[in-house]
Formats: sequence, structure tokens, C-alpha cells
Amino acid sequence: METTRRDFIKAAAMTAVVSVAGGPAMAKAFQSADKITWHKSVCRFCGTGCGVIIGERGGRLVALRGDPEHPTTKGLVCAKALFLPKIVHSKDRLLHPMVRKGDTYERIGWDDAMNLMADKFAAAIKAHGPNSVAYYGSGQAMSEESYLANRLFKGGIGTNNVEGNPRLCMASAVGGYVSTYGKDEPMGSYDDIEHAKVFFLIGSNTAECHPVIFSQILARKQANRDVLIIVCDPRKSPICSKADVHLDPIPGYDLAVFHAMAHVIVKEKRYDEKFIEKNVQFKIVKDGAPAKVDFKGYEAFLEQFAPEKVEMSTGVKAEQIVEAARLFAHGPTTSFWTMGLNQRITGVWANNLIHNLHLLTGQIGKPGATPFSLTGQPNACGGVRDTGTLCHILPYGRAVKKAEHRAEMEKLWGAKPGTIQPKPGLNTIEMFRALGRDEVQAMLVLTTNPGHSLPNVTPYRKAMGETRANKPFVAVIDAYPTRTTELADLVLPAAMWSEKYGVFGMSERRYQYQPKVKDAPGEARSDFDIVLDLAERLEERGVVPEGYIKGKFTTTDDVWNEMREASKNTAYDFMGMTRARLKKERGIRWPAPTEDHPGTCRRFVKGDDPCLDSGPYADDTVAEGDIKFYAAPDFRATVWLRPAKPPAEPPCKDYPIVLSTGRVLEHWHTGTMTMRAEELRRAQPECYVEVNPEDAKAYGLRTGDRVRITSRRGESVVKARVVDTPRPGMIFVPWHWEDDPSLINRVCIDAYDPGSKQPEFKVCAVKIAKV
Amino acid sequence: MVVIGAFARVEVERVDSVQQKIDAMPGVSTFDLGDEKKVGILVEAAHMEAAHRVLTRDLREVEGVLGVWPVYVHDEAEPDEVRQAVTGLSETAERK
Amino acid sequence: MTRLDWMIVLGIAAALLFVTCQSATAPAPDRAPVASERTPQEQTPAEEEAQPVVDEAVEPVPDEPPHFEVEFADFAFPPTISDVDYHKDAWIKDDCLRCHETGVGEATVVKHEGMKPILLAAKCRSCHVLIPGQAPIEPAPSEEDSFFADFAFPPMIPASDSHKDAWTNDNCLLCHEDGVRGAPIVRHKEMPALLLEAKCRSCHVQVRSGAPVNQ
Repeated sequence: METTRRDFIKAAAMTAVVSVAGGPAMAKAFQSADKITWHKSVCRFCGTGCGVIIGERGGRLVALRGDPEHPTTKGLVCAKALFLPKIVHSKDRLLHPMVRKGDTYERIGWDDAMNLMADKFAAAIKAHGPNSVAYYGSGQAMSEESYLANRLFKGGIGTNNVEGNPRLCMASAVGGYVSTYGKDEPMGSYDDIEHAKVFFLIGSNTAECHPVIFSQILARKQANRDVLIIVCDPRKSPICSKADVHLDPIPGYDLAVFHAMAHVIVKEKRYDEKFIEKNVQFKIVKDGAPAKVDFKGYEAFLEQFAPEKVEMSTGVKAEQIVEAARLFAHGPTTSFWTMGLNQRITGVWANNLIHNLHLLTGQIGKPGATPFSLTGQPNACGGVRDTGTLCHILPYGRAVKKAEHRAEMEKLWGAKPGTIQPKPGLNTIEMFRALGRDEVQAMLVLTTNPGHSLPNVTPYRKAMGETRANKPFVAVIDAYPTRTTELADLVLPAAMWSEKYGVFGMSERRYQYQPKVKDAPGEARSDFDIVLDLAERLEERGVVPEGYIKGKFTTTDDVWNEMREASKNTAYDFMGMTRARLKKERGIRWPAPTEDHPGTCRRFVKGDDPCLDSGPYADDTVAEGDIKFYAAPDFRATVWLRPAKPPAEPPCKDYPIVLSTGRVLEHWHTGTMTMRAEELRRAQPECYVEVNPEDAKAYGLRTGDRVRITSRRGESVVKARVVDTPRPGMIFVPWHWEDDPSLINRVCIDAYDPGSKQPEFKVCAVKIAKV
Repeated sequence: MVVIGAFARVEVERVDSVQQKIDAMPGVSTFDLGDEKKVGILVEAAHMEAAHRVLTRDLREVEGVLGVWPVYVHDEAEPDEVRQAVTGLSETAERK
Repeated sequence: MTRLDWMIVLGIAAALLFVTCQSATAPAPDRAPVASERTPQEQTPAEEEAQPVVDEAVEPVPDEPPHFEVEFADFAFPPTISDVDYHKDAWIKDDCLRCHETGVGEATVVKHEGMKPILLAAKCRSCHVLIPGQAPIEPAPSEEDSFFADFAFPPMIPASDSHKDAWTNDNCLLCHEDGVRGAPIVRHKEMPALLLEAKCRSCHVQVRSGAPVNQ
């Protein structure tokens, strides 16, 4: 480090003060005059979106703390965030572009790498059309990056083969919100935690997966004796120790439980008649089309789901269902859920049924009363769902199927009319299947790890990496070596969080700015730079119209301004979120249509949601505090009468045990980040399977024994932990470990929800045996 | 160039807010002394008058500061100032 | 004296004080040097007589380790236990990992990676011998870790019996605020009260989290 004369004199001054007035062990701190500079940012991990402050000294990250000024997370963080400095500075960061040569990788320059990628994409498009290429992005890329990629592929190349890993975690929540209210995303916010009297936690191990949310729920419960927690989960996760009611349905058979709760609410007249009359309609799907029913028809439908009738099929006692329903109806109730509901072939339906309970009891749009889907990734909401970077949607609530939506985006993007295809592209599972059939000839994978995270991952790994004639070209952008970079034809080193600036949008519709605090190592570049570079080279090769992207954007600031324009007069309207505002404030919740708008706490509520005051949804006839579902058909949210369909692969004689996968506190997703912090790795060093003591006895298993878990698709071998957390007949495996025996996604099923296309990670049938 | 090392005795309950306010003052920074009753202060100023004003007035006005004691004082002309003095350019413009 | 002289004097005084501070923080050895470590001037006549005679006419042979030692693996021999106050009950106690897996109290961190859980549950002095008079080993800080702020990473929770319910309990400060039962005292200085109400395991991860300590 270069020391100037001034630095030297400053050090002498400080040393003198320490000698005279200092406490013990201060000498070490003053060997350098450099102080730690703290930068406001947002956490890299889950969808809670905790505000953090990054400590930087000399261009390095040296510490991280929760941001005590953050309006909702108030300085709370979990351990994973605290170790981000170590993760970012990991010694095995990817530094240079690498091209596959046989079984090894060779370093190449950026120009050659980008030319290679552009040539491959252009050749595929020219030979086989735009649908021969695909993009698989991430809820961990910045919003500007996903938006730009979406713009390039849909409006430039002209393909809707645009997908992202939120298809694996949030698509069912999207489907639930859209089919119930007409628009995606929660209507409440974290503010509701401070007002709720009942928390309904469904399929969510909140304590380990959204620890800061759980800390706030617990704090509320500890401060108020009348705050209650209902948990619905086949597994006794750590949250159950604080639950007042724990419903533990047989995995995959919980839809009947939610209908049964509705049955109790209706039968005991605990529903809000006025609210229903004004804001709700009832629908059932008959012969493939939705048909309206009246309240009486709904009542009759629920008869089959009386609590005592569903005890056997669900495994939940009738009196527990009754108690849960009564508590729910008492309210105000905030429901939180994640993958337990979403990662199912009935994910959309499961989401609908939770919305049903809120609509029946009018527990919506009031402080403490809201159905709130918790997001898994830090930017699945803002980055992928909101920017429309999935195969069937366009930015900010638009759909590819709607002609006026396509026209709006073509106009804004400067694309030739007719470029955006009207038919949705391939969803994630179908996209990788098409890759395996060599129908997709070039794919760009950005900041995600499908070689680990896809269900039934083995055939998809072959699709990406197996050498064969006519093998598709796969380019992967990542910051670390992963189970996906090892399959790629071209690996491009990515700048990480804190090495680039942009926006993350988290669960409660809050868009937050994250600054660049340090330079990326080696030759790593941001995803934004790489996509921009690719776009320009594709224009040079004539497969994207000239000038479509080139010359329009230099930094993510430029893209952000276009995104604001795209949101104007939509239900997302965040025109008021200028870059300057986002840099200064600790996130703003959309809609925020003007620069002086503080952001929206509750959507659809007059006086809170500015869409009811101006724009296409404005309505002066709605009274202050009243709710209007302005995006729903007939302005009425829909209570759906869904069948209680079982899982795709229930247990049977040959595969008698249910496998469910999930997460632990100390690791996140495919562990590419958390496994690089020594303390987090030592906390949970290896994969394991939780086996109920009854099953352990039947199979002769003890803790520490190696267990082979086999499904129709593949097998894993991991160590047993005999605990009574999973219910009998069920095992639980966390999915973070990448070594072959632990790669539990080889066992999982890739059947998916026909509505949301989200796979059923949570339930498949396996057999187990001691090795 | 004036560099002064000093320490302030502070009310223990207000250490954080005192440090924040002092850090926000131009040319002034704080450092930890490992003693919750004291805060180390580094003052940099172009001239002694400015530094004196910071020490004797500005710092003492911060709520929570009980007293300020200088420990180390360094004053020398920066190369630019010397050059300006030699070329005859006015120094008074800079003192404003 | 001129102003320059005053500045020089102050600077020298500051430097001297600085250096004094630095050496004052270095840990002093807590035992007297044994006979073979004392200089000839310090040795007693009896000790001097007991020293091996060196024939100065013979060319001194450079020290080489006995050749059989270099054949052992570097992990072969478990480190020895130093003879200090906090190890005085090492024979009876079996909770050494409480400090040595987490680094609390500047204990050397040991990982025992790949070791069967049953061995970890055994008494540590079954494998690690205590050498009378041996000083504690100063762990060498890793170069990359020295870049991070010393407050950056919360200490880990040990996987000991007293911490087996660390997940569900949130009463860690019952012991750790006042050092009850020898628990290291933590202050969480400058931390907002809200954070102290959160589950401790949200920030402090536990070594071998969830794995049973004793089988």
C-alpha cells in the first residue's frame, strides 16, 4: 500500500492519541490510516431482501452488518450474509473466459469468447430460426440484466425461449396471484407482521429459509401473548417449537386440509358476507373452461371436505383443522408460504386455496391481514417476474399472448411490429428437454446452476454436456466453478454482488439499489456487460436488427430508465423510482408513480395504492380504505373450487417412502456461495437424510449409517440422521451439496404443474436401504 | 496542512451518535480507542485557524461531548501553498 | 527550540510510545526457560556440567532429523495439550471442542475433518497428551483472513451438550451475558436491541449443526 506523507502524519497523530488515551490492544488497528467505509446495500441471498451495510477497506470487503436504518429488516441479518466478504473473496473465483477443448478447458480472450458465442448463436438462428436458441436466466441477476436479456431475445432475436430459475421456485405463486387477483405479486408488505394476530405458515421452514422474517414473527409473538402461529408442514421444522397449532398432512395431500378449513369457516358462519358480496366471485373449471358458481354452490362443493371426512386422506385430525380454521378466521391473519406449496404439480391450486381463506374472511388489504408468498431468491420478483423474463410474459404484467401487450413492448423497444411471437416459448423443463433432443442449438445460462438445481437432473446434465454429433452450444456465465460450468462449451467469468451496481426487487415489492463497492477480480465482467456485448455482436451478424440495442445503453442506469417507462400506467408503475432516489433511500415499494410518492404499503386499497388515484385503474367512487381488485375480471377476486389432486408420484409397494427436499439455515441453494465460507461449511459439512425413528427401526438404520435413496430416476447415498422431524413414511434431504452421491436432484421427479410449469420437488416416491 | 490528533470524552450512551456527527464534519474523522468513554479524533485542515475553530468550538457543540483534548499537532505548508507564495498568487482567496 | 525541533521531539516520543504499545500487547511467556534454553552465563555449575561436551576441533554436523521421522504423515500425531491453567482439568473434562472447534478465547481451532462422531465423543486426552510445562501454541493467522475486520465473523457455537438445543432456545445470553458456568462473556457492543432478540443461531452458526454430539 502506498503511504503518502499525509497518511504518515495522520498515523503519527492517531498513535499519539492512542498512547495517551487508548484502551488495550489498539495498536493493531492503527497500522494503517485507512478506515472501514460502510456502504448501504442489500443482501445477496434470499427473497427477504435484508438491508445490509458492506464494510470496505482498501478495495476489499472486510465485514458486513445488517443495516439498522432499514425500514423493515431494521438491522437483522442471518449468518449467511455475515460471511459474504469471505464468499466474494474466495480464491477460486472464475477469472478468465474458458473454452472447452475435449475434456479440458483453455483460457481465451474476451473478444474471442464473445465472437465464438455470437457466431454459434447466429449460425443456429440462420439455419434453424430464432426458436433454435434459448436463454436461461436467474432470480439472482440484477433487474437491469434480466430486462436486457429479455429485450434481446424476445424483441431482438424474436424467440420466447426465455426462462429463468424462478420457474423452479415461484411460478406457482405467480399463477396463484394472477388467477385469483388478475395480477402477480403480494398485495401486503412486511409492515403487516407488526399488526397480525395470527400467522399461518404453510410449507415454509421460515426459521431456516427466511430467518429474519421468522425473528420478526417471534418478536411479535413474544411481545404479545395473544399472537398465535399455525403451521402446516408434514415436517416438524424448527418453527413448530413455537407453533400453537401444527397441521402435518401427508405430503401432497394438503389441498383437502385447506378446503376443510374453508368448510369450517363457511359452516360456522365465520366468513365476511359483505366483503364477499362486493369483491369476490366463485369459479370452477368444468370441461376445460372456468364457470361461475354462486355461494351456495361453493358451500355444496365444500361438503366433501368436512374435517372428519378428510382425516383419513390427509392424516390431519379433524379437531386440529377446526381449531386452525377458527384461529385463522379470528385474525387478523397473515399467511406466509414458500416451496411447500409452490413446488408441486398442484402448486397453483394450493396457492388458490390459501387465497380462498383470505377472501372468505375478508382478511386482505387490512393491517396484519394478507396472503404473502415469500420469495426464495433475492431478485426473482423484481428481476424475473416483474420484468417478464419468462417464456409467456412481457414486462410489468403483460403477456405474450395479448396483441396489445406485444405492440406496446415492440414500440418501446423499437422492434419491428410482429417480432415478439404470440405463442409462449419453451418452459424450463421443456427447454432442457429440447436441448437434449438438439432442437435448441445454442443456450445462454446466466448466473444459475441448472446442472445441480433441475429436478431429475441426470438427463439434463447430459443434454448440456454430453459430447455428441450436433451437440448444442452452451455458454455459462458464473462467478464460481459449478456443476454447470463443468458442462459448458464456454465459461464466462462474472462479476459478483458488490462488484456491479443495479437493483434487486424482493418479496414485499421493494426495489432496492445495490452499489458497486469493489472491482471484479481478474477479467470478470458483469452480466449486463456480457449481454450488451452479445447483443451488439448479434446485430453485426444480422440476426438482430442493427441499432436495436447498440448505442442505446451504456450502463445499467440507461436500462433502468427504460424499465421505468415500461412500467408507466401499469399496476407496477414505478416511474417515481429514479436512480437518485433509490441510491438515497432504503428501497421503495411499487407502485410509486411519482418522485414524491413514498411507495405503496398495501395494493388495491384506496388511499394507499396510487393506481386507484390516477392512471388506467383510477376510480374516485371507491371510499378511502376500501378495496378494489382493479386488475381482476369484473373487479372481483376469484375463489377457485379446485379438486384435491394427489401428487404425481405417491408412494407404492416398490417405492414406499416419500422424499421431500429442502434447505438448511447455513446454506443457500446449490451451495456455490455458502460452501466457500469455512464456518458455514463446518456448520453443515455434509448432506444427510432425516429418517423418522419408526422408519429407522423398520429399516435397521441408526444415525451415521449410509443410506441409499433410490427412485425410478436415480439414486443418492447420504448419511442418516434419525430424528422425528419428518412424519413416518417420509424422509427429508437438504439439496445443497454438489458431490455426486449427495446430488439429491438425481432422485427428484420433473413432473410439473400444468398451469405454472413448476416441477414437484417436494414429493416423489423412493425406497431406502442401508449401505 | 494541519493535522491534529485529539480525543473527546463523551457520554457513554451517546457514543454512536457522537461519532456519527463528528464523522459528518468536513475534515474530521473518528477512531475507536477501545474505551467506551472516549473517542479518538483526527482533524485535517488547511490552516491552523480552521483547525482551532473545529477543536474549540465545533466539536464542543456536539451533543454528548464532555470535553476535547488535543494530543498531537502538526502544521506545515503543502507544496501547493509554497508554490503559490513564491509565484505571488493570493493566499487570502484560499482562506475563505 | 524551534518549531521544527518540537515536531521532531513529539514525533520521536510518539514513535517510542507506539513501539512500547506494540511490545506491551505481545503475550509474555508464562514459564521460566528450562536449563537447555539458558545461556552458559545463566546456567548453574551443575547444569553446565550436565551439558554435552562439544569437541570444537570436529567440524559441527548440521542438525538432521532422525531419518525415520520424515516418513510419518503430517497428520499422524495429534497435537499435544499445553500446560496452562484452563487445561488443568483436561483429564476429567471432555468439552475441549467447546473452545477448540470455535476458536473462542483464542483457542487453536481444530477441525477433526472426517473423524467418526464416536471418536469426537471420547475424552480428548485419550489421543492428546499433556506435556508438563508446555506453553500454548500461537496459531499462525491465515494471510487472507487478516484482511477481514476482526469483528467481521461471529464466533461459531460449539457442538457440545450444553448447546444441543441452540436452535430452539433463544436464552443464550442467560449464560453468556455474565459468564455463568464458565461461558465466554459476550457484549455485542453497539448492537441494536432488536438484533439481540433474534435467535442467536441466526448469526452464530453451530459447528456440525444438528449432528448429535453423543451417540
